[in-house]
Amino acid sequence: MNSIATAALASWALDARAIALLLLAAFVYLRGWLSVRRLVHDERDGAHLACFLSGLGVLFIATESPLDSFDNLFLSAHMAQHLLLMMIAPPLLLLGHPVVPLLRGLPKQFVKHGLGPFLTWPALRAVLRSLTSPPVAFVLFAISTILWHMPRFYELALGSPLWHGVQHASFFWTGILFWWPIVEPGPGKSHWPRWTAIPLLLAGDIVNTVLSAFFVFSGRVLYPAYEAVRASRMGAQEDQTIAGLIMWVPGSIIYLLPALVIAVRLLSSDRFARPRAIVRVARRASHPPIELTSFRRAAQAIMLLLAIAVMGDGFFGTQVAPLNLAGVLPWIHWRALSLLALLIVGNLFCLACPFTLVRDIGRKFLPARLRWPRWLRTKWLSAALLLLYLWAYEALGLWNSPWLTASVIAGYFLAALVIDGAFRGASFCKYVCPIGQFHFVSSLVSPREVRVRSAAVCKSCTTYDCIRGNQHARGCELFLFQPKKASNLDCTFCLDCVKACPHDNVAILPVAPASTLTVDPYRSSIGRLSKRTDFAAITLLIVFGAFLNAAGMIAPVMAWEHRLHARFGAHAMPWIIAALVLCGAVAAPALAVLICGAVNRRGLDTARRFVFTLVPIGIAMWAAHLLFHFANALRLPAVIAPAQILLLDAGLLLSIYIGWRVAKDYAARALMIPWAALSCVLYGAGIWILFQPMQMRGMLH
Amino acid sequence: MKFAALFLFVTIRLYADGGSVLLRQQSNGFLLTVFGTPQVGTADISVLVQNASDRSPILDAEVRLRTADFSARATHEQATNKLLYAALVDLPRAGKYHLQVQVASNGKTAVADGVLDVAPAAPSWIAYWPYFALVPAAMLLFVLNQWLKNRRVRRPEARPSPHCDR
Repeated sequence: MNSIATAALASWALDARAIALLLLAAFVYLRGWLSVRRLVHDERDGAHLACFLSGLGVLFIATESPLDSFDNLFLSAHMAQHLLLMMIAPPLLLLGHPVVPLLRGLPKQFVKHGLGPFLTWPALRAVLRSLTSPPVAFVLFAISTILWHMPRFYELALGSPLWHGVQHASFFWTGILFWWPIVEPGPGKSHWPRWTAIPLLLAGDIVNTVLSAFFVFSGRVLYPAYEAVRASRMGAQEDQTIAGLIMWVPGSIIYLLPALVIAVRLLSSDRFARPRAIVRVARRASHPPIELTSFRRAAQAIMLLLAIAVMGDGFFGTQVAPLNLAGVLPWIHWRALSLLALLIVGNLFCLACPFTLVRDIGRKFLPARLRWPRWLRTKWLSAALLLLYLWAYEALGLWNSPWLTASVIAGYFLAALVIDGAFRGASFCKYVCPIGQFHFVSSLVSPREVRVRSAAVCKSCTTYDCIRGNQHARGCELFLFQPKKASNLDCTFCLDCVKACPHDNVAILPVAPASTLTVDPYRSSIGRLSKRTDFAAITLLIVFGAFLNAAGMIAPVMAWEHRLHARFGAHAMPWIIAALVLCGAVAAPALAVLICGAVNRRGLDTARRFVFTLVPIGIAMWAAHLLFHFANALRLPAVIAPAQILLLDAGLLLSIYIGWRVAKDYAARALMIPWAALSCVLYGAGIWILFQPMQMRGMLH
Repeated sequence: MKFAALFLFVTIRLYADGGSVLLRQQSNGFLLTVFGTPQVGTADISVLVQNASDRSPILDAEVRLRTADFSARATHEQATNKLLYAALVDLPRAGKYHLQVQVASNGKTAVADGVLDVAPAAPSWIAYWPYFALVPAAMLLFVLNQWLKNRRVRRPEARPSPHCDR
């Protein structure tokens, strides 16, 4: 192969966003396809899957391959790309009969409540039916094809990435409309007779033939842009002729072959049989419970080894943070990965907590008989420790001091051992551990929860093993009684209840993120959230702490700190940072709650409930901030900004939605307005912070 | 060394490896085309080097971009389209820059000169407008969703006609 061909084949224009979208479509389809297959077995299932995935593969080739890199230099490359977008990808995707698998692949509640009203909207259904009728589909397809090949519009697309995108999108979507009545992907039967597909295909071929003949026989270069930049020995006229032939020959085959197949089927004697519609109803398979209990100890052991390695390097290794495990693993990788796990699965860090492993070993020798003092059975102590952490992170430069980091970890092991060695239950996790509180609050937006499968089974239970324990497992050490447990709050995912339940009625099950915040039931060992000021306070601390923690690393704030440092001296800095932390994490949220409460004039209970609506935007900010450090550590800077904005978008929308649901509970929609406004303010602050130059911290070299 | 130069600015906006044609010039047997969308900040400048006689792309050249503010080596590695040579350059201010493209291949060298018109930087958030637009778009869809739900509650499904059973 010559060097030019090699260079051309190496010219892949990979775009992470496009690839992510294609993978997402494949994932949703596959999920739905598997779900349909569990219920109904159809012998064409495999073919459907192959067609859909091939269609996505063709889209990938069209948009990411060298065809895309060369479409502005060679008309022939551009024409091949258009052929894939209009004539290959749409029919393949539709042959995958995608509607049902895609709908079943999405979350059930989203389809029912989110898409349901649209899918059953008569006006929309009528529009879609009209768009996919052969005459309308053909007219739109023909207009799109002819219009974009007119020199004026073609050159417009060639000169602007935006218009180029519009051109490709219109080719693809009108292609979907055109091929819809031909493939008839369902669901439901077409209103048009099957034979109408034949004139439709022939009409499509006529348009295609006329256009390609014009390219081949016009005798002049239609698009001067290609003449201006002749990137090879081939002249623009020659390139145009090849483009016309690509359009003409393969294009005609693509139109005429299906027309022939449909005609033969219509004329054949077994045309009414449609034998492929052999459907066998299969038994619905029950989902086995997710068996994570056996993994817990292994995960804890791995985390313990990592913690020992971090402490060893922190105490005895080089004291340059980016070169030390203690400067990198806890502050960048562990924080980012545990948050990622929270958003994708649930509270996996507490599940794999190394501190509780050491504690469990210690309890074999320690009494653990005392009861945790009643006056400390709140979140105030852990809230104070969390505040202390926010201060120490900046004032003492925790992230920049491997020795200090190692000391904190060692202190954590000691505290867990001493507290839980003396007191009953998991007092350390429930009342002391600030990391645990962060994960408890964050896991309110997790898509999974440890809960009962059937309330009826619990009603018939007389032994209450989930909280009392039995010979197989201890009961919940955080005193969460499963039938009354209504969220991930205070749940360490230790799975003791899963092991203890003799009815196999407790498991890690899916839950809509943050949905448990829309109601305010009595929660086991917690009570009603509207009555718990300590829970509201620690939630506010975590939410506002996200913005404060990120703001501490951006250029404007750091410049301001440097000015204060120069003016007051180094000894004053811890006090200045303390003042900033108190203002940002205590005074600002208190003021915000006061204002929102005053606007609503509904009392403290209502304000406490609405505080939890801020959880999604706060967690989104933590995730967006940690993504910056994590993606930079992985050398993925290009994906950072879009992913950060998308995270904040999702956080804002979820916060407003939860606020709307809570207000609905009070039968007063206006109650949500100040809280939605507060969410918007936090969103704006988050965007501003993320768009500032941010200090890189802890990169492993 | 004498360089024969034919200077022509191409007015057609044609996007290649991240930009429109900035200049196209023939020099000492080479045909050089420079692409880019220069804005203040980091800009991607690409160069297509061709044999002037038959337009075949030259892939083994040494390409360097120079202005008063920067000097950068353009390589295939930095280009998406591997027929081009690309360099990421820092453009500190808006205005006109005198750009010089130096090419060396097979013992022959060539220089092309042109003016690089650098536009002021757009605010970085403008580049991400589709991501920001998601929030109002989602809210709009939610409002529509609620309107449809309420409409269904207000107008329950019509009862079947008593004649249906006959």
